[in-house]
Amino acid sequence: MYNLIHAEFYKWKKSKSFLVCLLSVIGMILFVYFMLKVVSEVQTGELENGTGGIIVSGELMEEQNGDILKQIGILEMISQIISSGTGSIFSAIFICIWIVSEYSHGAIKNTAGKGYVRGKVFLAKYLSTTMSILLMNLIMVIVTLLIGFVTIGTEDVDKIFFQNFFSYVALQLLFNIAFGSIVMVICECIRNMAASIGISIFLISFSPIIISGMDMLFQALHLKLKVSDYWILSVMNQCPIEGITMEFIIRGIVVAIMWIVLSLVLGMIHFKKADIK
Amino acid sequence: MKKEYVLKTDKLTKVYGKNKVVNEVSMHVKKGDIYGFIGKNGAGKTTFMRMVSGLASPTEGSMELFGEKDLEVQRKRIGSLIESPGIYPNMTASDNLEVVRRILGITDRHIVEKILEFVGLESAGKKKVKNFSMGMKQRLGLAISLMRNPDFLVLDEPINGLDPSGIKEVRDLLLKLNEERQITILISSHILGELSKIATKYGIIRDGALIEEFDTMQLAEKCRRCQKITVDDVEKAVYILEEILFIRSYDVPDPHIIRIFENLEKAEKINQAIIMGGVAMKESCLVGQDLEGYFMERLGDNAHQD
Repeated sequence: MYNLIHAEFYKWKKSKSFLVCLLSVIGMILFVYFMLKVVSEVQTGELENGTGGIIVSGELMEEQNGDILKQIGILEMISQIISSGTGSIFSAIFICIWIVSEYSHGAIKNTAGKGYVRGKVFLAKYLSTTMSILLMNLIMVIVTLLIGFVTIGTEDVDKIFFQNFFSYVALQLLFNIAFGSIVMVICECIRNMAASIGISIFLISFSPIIISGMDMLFQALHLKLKVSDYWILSVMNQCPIEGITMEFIIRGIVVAIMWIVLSLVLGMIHFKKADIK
Repeated sequence: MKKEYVLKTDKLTKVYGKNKVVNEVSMHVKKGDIYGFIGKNGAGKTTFMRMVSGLASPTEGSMELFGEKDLEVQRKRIGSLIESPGIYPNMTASDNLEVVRRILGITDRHIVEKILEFVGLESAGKKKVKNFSMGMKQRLGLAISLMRNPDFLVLDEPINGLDPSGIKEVRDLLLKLNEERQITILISSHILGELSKIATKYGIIRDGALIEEFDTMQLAEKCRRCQKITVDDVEKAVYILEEILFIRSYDVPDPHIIRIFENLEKAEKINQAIIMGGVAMKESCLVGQDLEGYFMERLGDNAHQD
């Protein structure tokens, strides 16, 4: 098992896909901050409205003491990056490239046919992918936090801020690992780059809406079942940035672990049985 | 006796949907053999080799490696190159081998350079694999299969894409591995001429079924020059051959065909004697197949030949 993980780490170092996805999402973060900073400076009169092609609407201009960045706050910015889909999309793209390329290049033959039990091969891949997602999301959080300190300021940064920050980020990292596990299973079963990326993006973009629709349907049918309480992306969106209740923490952890275990089991079963071409 | 065979399969079968791709193949590869595995495109060679290498699981049947049934453990003694080599195109040749070194837990860091030199890629170690020619990729695939110093090599068309000098180099390499390191080799190829230069045993697969296994001596026997006569009454013709012409070296491969292996210079006299003995003769000709001719006959129509 150590040998497999050692090899995975070496491949990860040599692969550019992690760096490209990470730099892309950091670029997105910088862009979002830049846009909001321009809006903020237009609101405070430091910049003329329309600078750089950015036009601030009348409503925002009319707000007293308006500063959109301060209104949003650092925690909300972090929430937008790692729970609203932006970060998830780039994580999913990386996972798809990382896993499917093993099949498209045929390199999986170098591990699967080398006397290792299939379960260990899958587990090694799972662990390396999970560590990568964790690292990517951590870096996203840190970058968002640091830029937030610079652009928004640290006036609201106190003990309570950090309590909320650590609770929120810890939960979101767990949720992202759980969603990453689902993407891994999709990649393992489909073994096609375009299809894997397409399905992952579809899930990120549309599944919360579909699940909400199902909730409404069940409500109309007077059923007590609330599907959104158990779908990981919905739970990710539901997570508040402040005042996270114990009930939510427990439910969130249980749901995340449930999806991680389910994905591991399904992925391992499929990998053990499926032929490698 | 049990450990005499490196690979022994018993009615190994693989079914995809309704298609029986490998049909009850019972193969025997002895230690030290270079086993040439021959068949048309789509005959089932690659699927069979995948099963041996652990990349596909059989639907039915069983397999022993090195006389043992714990295949996962024994597969650590196998090196394989199945279809295209499994390589990362954006990495260099050295990096690709380094990945395999770590997977296999080989502590000797210099093995990468040694193997690259062994397969003739010592000057290409720093070059990205996506810029390799097909022949270079095949050599890299061979290098990967040799990393663990295996006892058994499973090679699926390893000389694909190689130029004539490359083919010779691979041939010499395989012979060297077989002679010096006693590595047993299972090799499939369409290039029958090349295969005949190295194989010590052959297996012919057709439509998923192993139709024949034989060694080089048996093959030479089958391809032996003879007089082939087609008659209506084989018994009577045989009587004439034995009692009148005193011919003993012959066989009857078909109810109407006799192959005579001696007195080939007296073919006309043999024909005369048989006809005069009241046996109707439809055909008489001197035949002698070469290896490719024999394989083409066994494989049937539309067999691919390079």
